[in-house]
Amino acid sequence: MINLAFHLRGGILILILFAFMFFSHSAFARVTPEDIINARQEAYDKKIVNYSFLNQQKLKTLGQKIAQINKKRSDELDKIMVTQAEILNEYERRSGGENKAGIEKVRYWVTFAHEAVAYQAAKIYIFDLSTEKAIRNDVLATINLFQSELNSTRSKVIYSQKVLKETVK
Amino acid sequence: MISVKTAFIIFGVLGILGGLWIILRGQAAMMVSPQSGNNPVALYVQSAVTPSPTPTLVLINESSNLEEEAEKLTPEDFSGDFKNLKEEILTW
Repeated sequence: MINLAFHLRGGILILILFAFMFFSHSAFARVTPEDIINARQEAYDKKIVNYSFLNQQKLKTLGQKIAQINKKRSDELDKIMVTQAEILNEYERRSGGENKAGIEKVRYWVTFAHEAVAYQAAKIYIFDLSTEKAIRNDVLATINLFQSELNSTRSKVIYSQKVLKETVK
Repeated sequence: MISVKTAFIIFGVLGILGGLWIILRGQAAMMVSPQSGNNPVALYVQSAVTPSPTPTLVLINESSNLEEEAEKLTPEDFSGDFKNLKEEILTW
């Protein structure tokens, strides 16, 4: 009788654990990038409502400029990557099946850089505001981050170009 | 009647499979990119990425000098953009 109760309790416990793992996926609902952006935007909107109208306008204008620069430069880098891919395709056609390893190596870096450009193009920069007095520092931090990321993307494009040049010469 | 040990094994295996299923479902829904980083300010939105045909800089064909064309693809220096942005803040 005692053994039966022990076995039964153990079995029920394991059954509950299994059911929890199998059906509790909603409890581990993934936070998407959109959720994070929305949360950041909400925090930004809450903060900025207490700022002066002039500062609000300055932040809005600067935010638009950052988005414009990001789009302009990302588009330029994207065109470069498309052309790099076309050069590689033409080289592959001309090589007639030779230097496959070299071509695959270049293709990897071209794809890597192209993906980095697409990723950069989709980025949204939201100012992380602390106080109105620190508005310059807050904005500068975002600009520095944008600069660092865009330059990093540019570096990847340049590296991809270097690898391509070494192969097609 | 199965023993406790057998029950542990059976439900343990089912539990692991269930866990893997949850992880794989989550991975499918998640954006995966080697570029992913832990960035608190700059965020990535998949919906904002809309693939569209991009005009090429030049036409690459059988008569193109590939080395020369690759050489021309050096991107511009972006430092002027950031210099202008930072100078604007100084006036605030």
